[in-house]
Amino acid sequence: MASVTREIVLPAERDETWRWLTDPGELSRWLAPEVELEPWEGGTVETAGEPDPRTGIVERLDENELLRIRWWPLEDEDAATTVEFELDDDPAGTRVRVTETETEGVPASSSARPRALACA
Amino acid sequence: MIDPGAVFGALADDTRRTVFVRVAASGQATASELARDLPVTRQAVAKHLSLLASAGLVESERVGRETRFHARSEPLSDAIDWMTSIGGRWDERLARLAALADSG
Repeated sequence: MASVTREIVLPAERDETWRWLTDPGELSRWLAPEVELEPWEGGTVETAGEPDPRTGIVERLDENELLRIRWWPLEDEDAATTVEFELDDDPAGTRVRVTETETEGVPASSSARPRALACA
Repeated sequence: MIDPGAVFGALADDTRRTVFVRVAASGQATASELARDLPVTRQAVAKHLSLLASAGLVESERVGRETRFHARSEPLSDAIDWMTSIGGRWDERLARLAALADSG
């Protein structure tokens, strides 16, 4: 499984940070221009206003601790990835570690396809 | 479909990485030719080639009685493109989140 990880320390308490990660109004200020998120396990997630709108579900939600969603580009569930946000205390506030992991493999780039076919 | 995990996983093994580099360097090679220069058996090389093939990193071609392998770079560049693109998106999003946190 390939994955990408980023970390950031926010000058905020855990509960405020949690609100930024789970409140649709707050998420629409940073994750994507328009975000819908039902903050419970099994709830739906949708982003819009970007070139690649996504839809998905909340897989796991431990308040102030961990949020995991599985999302994919509209109508392409094969390209689904998992995004996990982990919260931790930090002297400067709250540490957020985000990890996005591919679950099924990602589509080959369009530039690679003609060459791949030529090789076959 | 390119599976970045399979691509990097295939190259995580020292011997397999050496096999891949030698295939790429030689243009094309058979399992026997590769085994000649490596401290492993032809069978072991064949297994490594099979795993590299399933990750899309080598392709085989029958030439007479031989199976010749050549390297493909697309899975590697696609895997790196995927990580760069996904990572770049998070850099942008987290920068907006940091600005939001700073503005209170």
